[in-house]
Amino acid sequence: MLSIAAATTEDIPFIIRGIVASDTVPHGDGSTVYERVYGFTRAELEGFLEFALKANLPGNQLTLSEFVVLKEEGAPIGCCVGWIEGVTATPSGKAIAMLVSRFLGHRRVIDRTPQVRGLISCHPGRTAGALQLESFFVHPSARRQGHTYRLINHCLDNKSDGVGWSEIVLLSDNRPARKAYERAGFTLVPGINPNCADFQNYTGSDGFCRLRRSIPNHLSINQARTI
Amino acid sequence: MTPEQILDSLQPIFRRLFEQPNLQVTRDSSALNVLGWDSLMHITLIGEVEEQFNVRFGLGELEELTCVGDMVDLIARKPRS
Repeated sequence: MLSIAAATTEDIPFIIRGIVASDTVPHGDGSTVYERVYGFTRAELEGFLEFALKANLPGNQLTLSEFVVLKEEGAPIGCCVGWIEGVTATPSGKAIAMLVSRFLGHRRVIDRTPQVRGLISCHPGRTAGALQLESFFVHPSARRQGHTYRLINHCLDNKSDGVGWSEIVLLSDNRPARKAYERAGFTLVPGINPNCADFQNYTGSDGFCRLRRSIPNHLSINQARTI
Repeated sequence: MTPEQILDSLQPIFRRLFEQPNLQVTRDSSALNVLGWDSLMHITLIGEVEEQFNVRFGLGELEELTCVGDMVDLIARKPRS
């Protein structure tokens, strides 16, 4: 039997696996954007993600209470995170920078200034007040069964909190993921042309794209969906 | 230190980090009205302020810090470590 529920601390190891998988640079050596930008070792990254998830600062992509976990017979098989990007609260990018700084020490972050600047200048930004979705992960043994759509629909139904738009920011060269989101009704936001030369140089990735879809508020997404 | 003294002590830190010799921050100064105050500059600023004032901010405190006035009040409340 399948169930989707808010994450708890016992889900942290699975969520860390999901974040690492979804943050991995496509067509690379298996390293993640976090590692390439901030200079984390893999062990440091896993320690950082546990630190950030347990800190549970509100409204960002590493907020444990914003994650949902899909389980089959009680065992986790998928996860994602969904949060409303801050209007008056701390923007998620700033929250992540503060978490990294607390974990690594600000001197080490400053030593990575060129890489962090490359990330900032390449990121397309997030719309304040929109539902942000990220870190989709389905265990390899459970793929091709529509679980990503289950996670998307669960978030649109349960986490939208009346907002009109949902967004997904992802690496633009992650084409399989982008196709899956487009099948779920997300479309590319045009006209965003960030400077990604430095980001490409440091990470090997083409950069980011931003997808979005409207969230009908007059009927449930489960009723409205066409996928 | 009084809040006014703390604000005065912050001025040279802001001018050096933002490379604006004539920058004059007030309690209302924030990322919304100071050019170049992005997420990287924010953590650089926090680190410099912590070293200069010999204090350490908690994550929850950093989360609530949105303008220079918040920073001044937070420093004023902190025992020196």
